[in-house]
Amino acid sequence: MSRLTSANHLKKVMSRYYTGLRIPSPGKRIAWVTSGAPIEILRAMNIQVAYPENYAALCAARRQSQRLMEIAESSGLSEDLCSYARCHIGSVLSPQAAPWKGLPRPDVLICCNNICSTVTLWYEYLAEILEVPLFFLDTPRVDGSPAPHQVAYVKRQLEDLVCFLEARFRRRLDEQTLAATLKTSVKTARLWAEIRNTAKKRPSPIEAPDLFIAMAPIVVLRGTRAALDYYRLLHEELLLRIENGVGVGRDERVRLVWDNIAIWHALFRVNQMFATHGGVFVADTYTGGWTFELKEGDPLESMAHAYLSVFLNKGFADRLADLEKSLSEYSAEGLVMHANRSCKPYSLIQPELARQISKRMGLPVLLLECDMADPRAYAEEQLRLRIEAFMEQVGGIL
Amino acid sequence: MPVQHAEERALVWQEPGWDRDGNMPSAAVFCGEILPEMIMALGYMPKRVFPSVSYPDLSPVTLPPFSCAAAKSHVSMLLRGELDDVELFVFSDTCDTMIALHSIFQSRGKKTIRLASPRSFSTNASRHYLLSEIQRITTTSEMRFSEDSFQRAAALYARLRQLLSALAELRDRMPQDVFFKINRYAWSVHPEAACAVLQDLVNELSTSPRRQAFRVLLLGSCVLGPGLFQLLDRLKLVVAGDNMCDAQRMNPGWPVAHLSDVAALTCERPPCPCKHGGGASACLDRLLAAHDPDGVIIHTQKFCDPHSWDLSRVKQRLARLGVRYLHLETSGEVSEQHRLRLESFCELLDAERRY
Ligand code: SF4
Ligand code: SF4
Repeated sequence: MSRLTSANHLKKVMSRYYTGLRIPSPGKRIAWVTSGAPIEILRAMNIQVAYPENYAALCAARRQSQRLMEIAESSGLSEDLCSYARCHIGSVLSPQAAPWKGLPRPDVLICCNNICSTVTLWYEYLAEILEVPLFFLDTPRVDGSPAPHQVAYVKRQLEDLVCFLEARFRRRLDEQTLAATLKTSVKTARLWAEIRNTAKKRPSPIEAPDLFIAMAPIVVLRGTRAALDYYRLLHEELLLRIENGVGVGRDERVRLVWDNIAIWHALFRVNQMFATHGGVFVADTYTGGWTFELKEGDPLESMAHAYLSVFLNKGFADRLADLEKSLSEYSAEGLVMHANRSCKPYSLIQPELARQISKRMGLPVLLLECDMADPRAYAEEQLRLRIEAFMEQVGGIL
Repeated sequence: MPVQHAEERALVWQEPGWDRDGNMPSAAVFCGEILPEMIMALGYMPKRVFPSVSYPDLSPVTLPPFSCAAAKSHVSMLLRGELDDVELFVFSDTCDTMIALHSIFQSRGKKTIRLASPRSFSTNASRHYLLSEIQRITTTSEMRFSEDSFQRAAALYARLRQLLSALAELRDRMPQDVFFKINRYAWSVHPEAACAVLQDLVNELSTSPRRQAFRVLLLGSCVLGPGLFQLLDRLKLVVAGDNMCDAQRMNPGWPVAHLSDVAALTCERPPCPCKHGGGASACLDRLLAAHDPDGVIIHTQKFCDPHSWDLSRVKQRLARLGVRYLHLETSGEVSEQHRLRLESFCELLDAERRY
C-alpha cells in the first residue's frame, strides 16, 4: 500500500486537536458529543468538543481497547454492549489505564441519537457517573426525506440547545459566527465527498483503510480551518495520483465496497487478506456518513434537516439505495459486510440487505462477523478462510 | 372454574389465530408502545405479537446471531409462514432491534406502519411531536380513520385495561404462568372476548386467598415462554409487580377517550428503557414502594441492549437500598442453571426471613 504524503499532516492535525483539548485555559469549556451531534453550534460558542466514539476507535487502533472494556465489564456492563461505549466507559472509570489518561473531563454532555439508541443510554450512564448535565437531542427516524413535523421538532430542540448552552456558560451564540462555521462545515463536507469520489477512477488513488483514517477531521474538526486545509491537501494529492495513473500501490483486480465500521484493531491485517488477492476497497458506507448538505434559509432549520438525514437515521429503502448506488458508481464487483457485533443499527439488517443486493444486482456478498473495537471477537483463521472463498468467487484468485 | 377456564382459553390462543375477526383483517402489533385503539380505528383487528420459544429457528437466514431472542422469534414466525394471514404489520421506533425488524418485514413485501416515535417523552416538544406523528399515521395512510370508530375502540380497550389492572392486583392469588398467559391472550383477541374471560377470573379471584410465598418484583426484558413463571410457582415465588413491556408496563390502567389522550398515555406510562430517562431504573423506587417485595428478579435477554444498560443502573440502586436481587439472562428459555440460581435466591430470602 503506497502511503499518502498528506498523512503526515493529518497526524499533526489530530495530535494538535488532542493536545489542544487538554491544555487548560481560562474560560475553556468542554462538551463530550456523539458523532452525529450538531457541533457547529458548540464551535460557534467557542466550546471545545471531544468525541468518546473517536477516542474509543483510537484506543482500538492502538490495541488498547481490551483492557478498558474489561474494566467496564467488571463494573457490571454487559460484554454484548457497543464496544465503543465499553471502551470509553473503561477509560472514565480508570483513567490511569487509558491512553492519554482518557478524555479531559466534560462540562456538559450532548447526545444526539441520529446514529443509534445506544448513545442515549451510554450518555445517561455518563451523566450519572460524572454528575455532568446532559442535553439530549432527539432525532426521530426518517424514511426518505424528513417530514415537516420532524424538522419542526428538531429545530425546536436546537433552539433549546442554544438556550441550554447560553444559560450554562453565560455566553451568547453569535449568528454570524454560526453562519461562518456552517459554511466551513459544508465546504469541508463537500470536499470530503469529492475525496471519496476520486476512488471512482481506475485505478483508484485511495482505498477504504485510508479513508477510515482520513475521516477523523470531518468528524471531530468539522467546521474548522484545520479540517478544511487538511482535506484540500489530501484532495490535491489524490488528483495528482489520478493524473499520473497511480493507484494504491498494487494490482487492482477486484473492486470492492465495505459496509459498516472498520475493524480498527486489525484494519490493515484484514485489508491485507483481500489485497493479497487483488482486492481493493474503493468505497465504504461508513465514511460516507459525513457528507451532508445544508439547505438555504434559516440555519437551525437547515441543521435540523441535515442532522435528521444522517444515513444511520434513515430507513431500509434508503440504505439499500445508497448501497446500490455505491456499488454501481464505483464499479464494484463485490460487497463485504462487516457484521459488527457492537453496532445493532448497522448490522441487524445486513443479511436482508445482502439478500436484496444479490437478488437485484447479482453481486456476491460476504458477511464477516467481527467487532470494531473488541479484539476478542476476532478469529483470524476463520476470516481468512471465508475471505479466500469469497475472493475466488469474485475472480481475485485465478 | 375461572382459573382453569382462563388457562384453557389461553391455550387456545397459543394456536396461531391470525385470520379475520368478523369483517376486520388482522394487524400484527409488535410493540406495546402502539395503542391498539388506534389500529382498530383504522379498521384492523390489532393483535399483539409476543415472542415465543418456537421451532424451527429460521432466523439465521435473516438476522445475525447477535440478535435478541425476541427478534429471532418474530423473524422465524415470518419465515415459517405463520403470519401469512396478517394484512398489516405495526411497529414503533423503540430499540434498534425493533427498527431492524420493521425493515425486514418491509423488505419481505409486507404492508407496514411505523410510528417514528420520539425517544424522549419528557418535554412538551416531544409530546407535541408524538401527537403529530400519531395524526400522520391516521391521516396519511391509505386506511380510513374515523373519530367515531376510535371512540368505540377506546371504550372497549378502556374496559380491558381496567380489568387487567384489577387482575394485576390479584396476581398473587393465581398460578404465575396463568397470569402470563392470560395477559398475552387479552392483547391478542378481540377486547370483548378478553373482557368476558377476565371478568370471570377477577370475580373468582377476589374471594380466593392469597398464596403464601415470597413476593418479588420482576423487571427487564420480556420473557418468551411460561417456563420462568412455572419455575417461580414451583419455588413459591409470587410476582407482586413488574415493569415488562409484555405485561404491566403496557397497562397503566387508565383509559383514553380521544386521539390526543393516546399521546398523553404513551408519555405517562412507565417509560421503555430505550427512551431517554426510561427503564426500570427510572421508576424503581415507585415500584418498590408500591409492592414492598422480598426481592427483585431482573430478567434480560442476551443481546438486548436497552435492558442491559438499564440493568447496571438497577443493580446499583438495589445494592444501595439493600434490596436482594437476582439477575437472570436467557436466550429465550430457562435452563437448569437458572433453576439452580433461583433456588439459591429463595434460600437466601428464606434465611433472611427467619433470622
Ligand atoms: S451502537 Fe453503533 S452507532 Fe451506536 S455508538 Fe456504537 S458503534 Fe456507534
Ligand atoms: S427491547 Fe430488547 S428484547 Fe425487546 S426487541 Fe429490543 S432488543 Fe429485543
